[in-house]
Formats: sequence, C-alpha cells, structure tokens
Amino acid sequence: MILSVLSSFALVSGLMVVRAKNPVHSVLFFILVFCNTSGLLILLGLDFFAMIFLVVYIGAIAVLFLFVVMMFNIQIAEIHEEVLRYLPVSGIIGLIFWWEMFFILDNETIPLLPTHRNTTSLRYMVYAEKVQSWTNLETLGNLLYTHYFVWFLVSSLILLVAMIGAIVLTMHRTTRVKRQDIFRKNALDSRRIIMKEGGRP
Amino acid sequence: MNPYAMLPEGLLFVGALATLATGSFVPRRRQALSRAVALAFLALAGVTAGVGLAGPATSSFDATYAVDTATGVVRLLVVVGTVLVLLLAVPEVRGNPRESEFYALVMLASTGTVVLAGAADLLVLIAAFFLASIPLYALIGMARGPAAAEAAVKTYLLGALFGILLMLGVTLVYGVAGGTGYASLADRLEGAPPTVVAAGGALVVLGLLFKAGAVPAHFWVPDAAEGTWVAAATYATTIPKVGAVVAVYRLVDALPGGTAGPLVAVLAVASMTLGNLAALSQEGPRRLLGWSTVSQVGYLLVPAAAAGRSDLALPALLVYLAAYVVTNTAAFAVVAAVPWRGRLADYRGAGRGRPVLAGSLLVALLGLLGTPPTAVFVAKVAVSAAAWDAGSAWLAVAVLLNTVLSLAYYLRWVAPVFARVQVSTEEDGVANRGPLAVAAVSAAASVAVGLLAGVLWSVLVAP
Repeated sequence: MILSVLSSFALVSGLMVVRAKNPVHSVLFFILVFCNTSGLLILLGLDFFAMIFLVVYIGAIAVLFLFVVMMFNIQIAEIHEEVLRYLPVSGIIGLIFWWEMFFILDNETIPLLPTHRNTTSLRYMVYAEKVQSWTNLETLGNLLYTHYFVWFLVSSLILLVAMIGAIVLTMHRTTRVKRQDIFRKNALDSRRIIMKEGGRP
Repeated sequence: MNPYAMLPEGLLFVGALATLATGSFVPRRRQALSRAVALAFLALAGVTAGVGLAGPATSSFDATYAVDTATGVVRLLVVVGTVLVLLLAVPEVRGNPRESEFYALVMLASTGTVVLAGAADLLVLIAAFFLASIPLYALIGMARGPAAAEAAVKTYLLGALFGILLMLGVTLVYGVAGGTGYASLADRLEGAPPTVVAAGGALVVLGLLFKAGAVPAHFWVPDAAEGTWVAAATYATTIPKVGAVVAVYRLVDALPGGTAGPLVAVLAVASMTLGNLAALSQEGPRRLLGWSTVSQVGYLLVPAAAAGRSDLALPALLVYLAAYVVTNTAAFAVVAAVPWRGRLADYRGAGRGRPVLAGSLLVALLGLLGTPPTAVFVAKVAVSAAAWDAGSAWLAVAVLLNTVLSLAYYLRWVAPVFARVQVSTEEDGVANRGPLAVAAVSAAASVAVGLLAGVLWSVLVAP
C-alpha cells in the first residue's frame, strides 16, 4: 500500500513539475518527487541511498534549481503557450521512453500485470532481508575505501576540477564586484567609528 | 595488488596537486615555478611509464584497470604531448593571473586521459570520462572574449549531453550483464536480449566519441580550435582523443562480437568524410586544423572498429596515435609561433627567410596527410592493413579515398608558403621562439617515428 501511495505521489508530482504555472512551484514539486523516491528506496532496502537522496538531491541539487529560478526570474507561463507546437516531437520522445520501459517490464522478474501467483497486488523481492545483514554503509565502505580507493580519489579529483574551473571562468578581480577586505574589517575600531549624537565619537 | 602498477598515474595526480599548490603560494611574477614543477612530475611519470612498459601486462584493483601495452603507450604519449603543450603555451599564458591553474588543469586532464585509456570497468570509465572532460571546459573558456565563451559553452553542453548518454548506456549494459568489469562482460552478456546490449553499447560508444571529437559529437572541435588560446586548442584536440580512442577499442573488444564494431566503423567513415569536406572550404588555419582533427579521428577509429577481429588492430592504433600526437602538435605549434597570421592567405610567402618555420609547417601538414617518410604514412598503411585483415576491406578503401580528398586542403595551405613574394619588414613580426622550437622538435619527431616505425612495431607486437 505504501508503495502505491509513494509511487503515485511521485508520478503526480513529476507531472506537476512540467505543468505548474509558477516556476517556484515547479521546483517545489521537483523536491516532492525526490522525497517520494527516497521513500521508495527505503522500501527497496537501500537505506543509505535514501538518506543520500535527501541530502544530495534535495539539499543540494533542488536548492540549486531554486536559486537559479529565483535569481533569473524565469517565466514558465510563456513556455506553456506553445505546447501544441512541440507536441509531435515530444510525443515521439515520450513514446520511445515508453517502449524502452516495456523492455524492462513484462518479463518474468517484473511482470506488468498480476500473474497467477498473486492476484491481489504487485509483489517485489526485498533481497536485503534474506542476506546476513551488513548495513548499506558498511558494504560501500568495505569496498570503496579499501580495494577501490584509487577510484574514490579520482572522483574527488573531479570535484576539485569543477571547483577550479568555476573559479577560473568567473572570478573577476577588476570589475565592479562587491567584496570585503578582511584585514581592514578586523582593524576597525568601534570607538572611532560609531558616533554619538552631535557628531562626537 | 602491485602498488607500483599505477605509479605513473599517481605521479600525474600528485603532480597536478603540486602544481596547483605551488601556483597558489608563489608570488605572481614567479609563476613559472609551477610550470617547472609540472614538467618535473611529467618527466618522472614518463620515466616510470617507460619502465612499466617493459614489464609484463597486468591489471590492478581487481581487474578494473588494465596495465598493458596500450596503457603504457598512452601514458608515454600523454606525457610527451602534455610537455609539448606546456612549452608551447608560454607566450600566451605567461603573465596571466590564471597561469598556474592552466598548468594544473592540463595535468588533471592528462591524468583523466590516462585513466580513461586504462579503464577496464564501466564505472571507472565514467569517472575517467568526467575527469578528462571537465578541465577542458575551463581550459577552453579561460581565454577572454566572445569566441572563447561560445566555444566553452558548446563544449560544455555537448559534454553534458554525451556524458549523460554514456551513463545511460552503462546503466543499460549493467542492467543486463549484472556486472561492470570488461573481463567478464562477454560471458555475462550471453543470454541477454541483443537489442538492449546493442543500445547500451551504442550509447557508451557515443559518449566516448565526444572526447574523441568524432561524428556525431564533433560540433565543438572547430570552435574550440579557433576561438581560444592556441595552447588550449592544441591540448583539447590532441590529448583527450588518445584516451578516448583506446577506450573505444577496449570497449569494442569487451562487448560480444558484432555489437559495437559496425557502429564504430560507420561513424569512422562519417567522421573522415565530414571532416575532409568541411575543411575544404575553410579560410582560417586554426578552423581548418580543427576540421582536420575531426577527419583524423575517423582514421583513428578504423582499427578500433576492427578490434577483436584482427591482431593488427591494436599495434596499428597505437602507431597512429603516436604519429598523430606529434604531427598535430607540430601543426598547431606553427600556428602559435606566428599568431598574427589569422587567415590562410596571410601565409603566402611566409617561408621567405624562415627555414625552420616553413620546414616545420611542410613536415607537419604533409605529415597529417600521410606522405612517406612521416609517421602517419606508416600508420595509415597499418590501419588499412588492420581493416583489410578484419574483413572490412571497404574501410581501407574509405581511408584511401579520404586521404586523397584531404590532399586538397593541406596543399592549399602549404604550397603558397614557398611563393616568392616580397613581404615588407614592418608587417612581418618575429616568430615566438618557444612554439617555434616545439614545432621543430615535433616535426622532427614525426619523421623520426616514421623512420623508426619498424622498431616501434616490434615493441608493440611483442607481448
């Protein structure tokens, strides 16, 4: 039952992301999609990834979307006026995705319709219950920081490159950018700066 | 796990961090120290790579990284190419406030390229793809101006799209295979539905072709070659290609036969043809070189398409990569030596009194074409032989026809250089010495690799 609730909320929120008139509502529905997907991951037994979804997807990525939407004042209402014009191409792409999904669904592992084994609801296997339990986090740490530590370091290099790249491309020391001089700020003396009435320090 | 198996990559990694740290703590006028640090670490990495090439083929990190002949050769080529680019960058980058970041980004991208070539696991492929791509966006965008910004945005958008396609392909292949290591991929994909395997393999190959600059992901190459600093253009069009093409080779070899090979063959012919046709009408030397690199990638992908079906494919690919790196660097270095000549027509008579410049340009352009005794001639013969041996004779014919087609634009550039035209002294500047030296050395190396190709081949075929 929880599966049905979470997945239907996720689907509706996903639809509302593209149909909302206000772009900020759009991003908020986007956040709702991730909340529901996080719940679905917990149902699958992937507790670590569910928490990582909350922290990274909602806490970083969706907040970034929100910053962009609020700073640049994007008007989604204008895009909606041309829906019919884009319908053929978007329809074809949507149909391709549907067709791809039917590769995965409707085989023996994930049946599309209830099979003769159970007629009440879609069943799925929670393999995590059957195994001698290590938490997700232990499993990841056991491999990522020991046998494959070099790939962990390579991934960290990617983040370093992103940081250097962003600074190299955007930091301008000479244009009219507000900045602070920390040394000067620390050298301020409040007794000489704050004036009492009458102009006496 | 042999701790010294990945020593060259580790040295490149540490060298990048050392370059960045040196640049951050050294005063603005002494930034050349960070270049010296970068060159020192590159030399060390080159030496260890040479030593490693002599050792037996092995793999490290549970068979996720292959340390064999291909990886060893790629390490050496990347080190040599990066050293040449760093030396050629001196006139443009010296004095720029972002000088040490340029060197650090070049080192990081080189690390990513080497890891991309050695990756024997789909997940490592993704990590290396991003490590090799993201510095390029910053390198291309570092030059100020609308042309550089346009090139950087184009590269970034295409890179983002093809990175997503790469990851989508890896997801599909992992979904049907149940594992990501190349060694067991063919076995795991035995009973999988062939459409899913084909779709996944095609998407991964498409993602890698962005790094290589091949059709259909070639749109960024001419703009990057023209709009940004010559050093950044040289780096972006030469080095990442080396890692990407070897990665395509390994992937075509690892997937079940006939999955990705035909696609790579078709895209190779498309790249060759489109690159040559587009270069025929170019007026600017840098844009022409950009389109010529698109066609060179077509030739490079031919042995990758023949992977697994011919023993000649891997040595042919490595010889072509060696030839391509030195020859392309020579051509770009000549352009960097005389940057005020912005159009092909400006090169008319440029050879008067400048024997080194004219000689380097001649060797570089005829080298890219594939005239004996330069290295690309040997490489093209080897590549055609590999294609013939693998049963795809039409690929060899395509290589030959496209070589003839490319005669037109290479000769159109280099022939007027030797014309007897009086150039007045005040509009003729002095060539930049650093790039001129790099051009001469690279052109000489191109001829040397061609003459020593027999020795090189025996090294590559032996293990």
